[in-house]
Amino acid sequence: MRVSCLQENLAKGLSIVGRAVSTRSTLPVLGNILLEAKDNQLRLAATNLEIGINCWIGAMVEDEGAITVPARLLADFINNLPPERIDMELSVRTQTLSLRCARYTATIKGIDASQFPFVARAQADEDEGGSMADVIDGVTIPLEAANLRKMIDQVVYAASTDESRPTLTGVEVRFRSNELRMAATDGYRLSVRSVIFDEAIGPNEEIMVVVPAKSLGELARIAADADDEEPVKVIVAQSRNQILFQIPGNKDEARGSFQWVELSSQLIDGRFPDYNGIIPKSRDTRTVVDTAELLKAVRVAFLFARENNNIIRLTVMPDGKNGADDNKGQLRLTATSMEMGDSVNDIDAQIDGGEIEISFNAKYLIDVLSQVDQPQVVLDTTQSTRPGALRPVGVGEDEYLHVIMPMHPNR
Amino acid sequence: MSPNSRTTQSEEWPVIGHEWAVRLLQRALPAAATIPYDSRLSHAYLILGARHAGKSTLARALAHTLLCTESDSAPCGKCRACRLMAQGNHPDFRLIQPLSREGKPDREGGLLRAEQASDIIRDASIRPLESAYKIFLIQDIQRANESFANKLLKSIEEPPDYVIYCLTATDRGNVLPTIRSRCQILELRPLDTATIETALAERWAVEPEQARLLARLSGGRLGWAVEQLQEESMREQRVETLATLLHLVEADRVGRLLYAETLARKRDNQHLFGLLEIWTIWWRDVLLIQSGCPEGCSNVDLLTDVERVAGQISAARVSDYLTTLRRIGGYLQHTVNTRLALEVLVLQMPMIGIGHH
Repeated sequence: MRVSCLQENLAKGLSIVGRAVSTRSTLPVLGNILLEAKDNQLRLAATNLEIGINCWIGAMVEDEGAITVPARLLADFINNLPPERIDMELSVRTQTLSLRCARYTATIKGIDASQFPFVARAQADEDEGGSMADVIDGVTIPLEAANLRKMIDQVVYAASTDESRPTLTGVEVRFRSNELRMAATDGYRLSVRSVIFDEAIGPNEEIMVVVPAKSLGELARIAADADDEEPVKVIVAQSRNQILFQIPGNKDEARGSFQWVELSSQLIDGRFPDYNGIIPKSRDTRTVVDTAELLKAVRVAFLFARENNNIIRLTVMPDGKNGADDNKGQLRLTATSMEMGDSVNDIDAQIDGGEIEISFNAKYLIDVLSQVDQPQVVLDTTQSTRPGALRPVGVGEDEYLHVIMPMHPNR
Repeated sequence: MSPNSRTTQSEEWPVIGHEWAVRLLQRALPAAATIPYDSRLSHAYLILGARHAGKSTLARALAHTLLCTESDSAPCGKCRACRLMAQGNHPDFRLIQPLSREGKPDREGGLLRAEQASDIIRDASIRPLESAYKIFLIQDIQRANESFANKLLKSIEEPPDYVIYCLTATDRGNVLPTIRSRCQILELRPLDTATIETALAERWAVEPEQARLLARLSGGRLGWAVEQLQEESMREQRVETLATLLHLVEADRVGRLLYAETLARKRDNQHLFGLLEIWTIWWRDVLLIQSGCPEGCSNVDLLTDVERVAGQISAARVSDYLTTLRRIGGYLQHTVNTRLALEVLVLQMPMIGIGHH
């Protein structure tokens, strides 16, 4: 293998695939990054067996070949190099990689590339493993990087971090004719987000998979560097229990860019709970408030709620007790800390329905409100012991919905 | 059929001896790799046996066979899966070992910790990457702390169909009954000396003389013999320890106490257990000579010394001392004053009066 590329591009590529490097594993080769020079591209690959990332960067290939080298060492070395051309050469006999950039040189000992596990790719030659080309029984759908990222950001935080319930650490992703829907829940809150396309995106039968929340988080991170105009491709291979996202890079930008990235993730086995049951079907009180104002008030209340299980009490007051107009009510946020004191904040609200008092986890409210772009949100409630539903104003009923379980404050 | 047909069958698996266990597992294998889960394989095996008896070797052979993409009944040794297995890099095979406090593998003093159990459960929920199965080899389950074991119970009872657990332990009694009852148990017995001698001579190209000695000393544990071969220091330890023993037998109390003190200062329990084992085998040989069974002796290279001592001490005293050796071993497993234990160890050793020979 003999190949050269730009330092910025290699550094970018390494920072992308580096996130999939396994930090603690019994397999020595998983601490390495695979470098493969082929067809005037350099492929970087890493996997922790759950997530696999392939990243292609532009390169000049004189001799094709591949090797794996320790990820940390390579990344740290490359990051400290000046932004110039890097020449790499592989000595097959000793399995060492020599690098030269400006006046720096290094030789890094590697492990034979054939010891590296297959990292799934959308397309791979027949003699190489890991191709998904033959196992696509799912869909290939177009979705722009920026939209996909937003969509992920709006659901992924609701997933559980408790490993004892593996299914809930994932996000349910559902493809149905012209709809893509994601849902995540940790048992205390639920976030559902869907996108309707103008035309059908997949086969008629519904495809439903549970993708680890971590994998989607990585995808969102990579999508931040992607070409916003071009669509991201999704391939579901249910027989292999994998999902693969193909993310286009900014090809025209010469420095610090990648050509494209393929992120594959193992799917979580197991049934995602049927969450439709917990979505409130009716409402007694509807409260419409300014998103930013509510977020700010919750943040202030949170300062006092931290000592008290993050409990804040929302009091919906329809009458306009402070002498306001008829349909202009107040939303009062109360937080009490035994040690530190308490806070009471009022914000204006349009209220339709009766008075209600309900307590929520402040952190959950902050999580959802930070992801809402629309200026106003609606909070639908029935009783103080029943879940509340939150959703941005101006967004379809099915498009974005957040359900929060109330807390029971000890009085 | 000649008895050879059996050995050839198990020779396909990289396991020496334990033919019954190999056959049992082979019969349970799926008929063809194409229909993986339609088999009589258990979802969890508990392999019991002494240290170095070949428990992990058997588990690896099972894993190797299931992961091999070319052959259904034994690893082919050539395909990608076999090459990855050989280098310890197969992504669908996990080796879990007890860890020391610093997180380093430590099979003697380490523990299987709760975090490892969480990792296993998470890992088990992810499908295999390159083959139909995912095999977890959990070594020394007797070193599991309680929360490790309890966390794993559910997964061991009902793992996803692609997961197979292989647990190893030295002693049935040290494994939590809740774990034991969820596994199919394979209890490996010591191999006979001839099998080990042949294996050493044929596979490890050991000189016949040494092969005979190692086979005798191994107590039916091939892995022990192989470790002796690879670790020169261990062979040195034996020679040195037995030389000390011969010296101590003739030494007076002061000399013995001095030795106990130096030994206690080393603060190396591993060394002590090694010493106890070597001494036990040696004194057992003395008893065997006294009982008229010289053919059963293990220290075949030191028979003249053994015979000399055997002639000068009564069998009852040797037998008593063997009991002491075992008792001291038990003490050292627990928190006793090591120095005191070692003093008892040397003072109770039968004494040959100086000038008697």
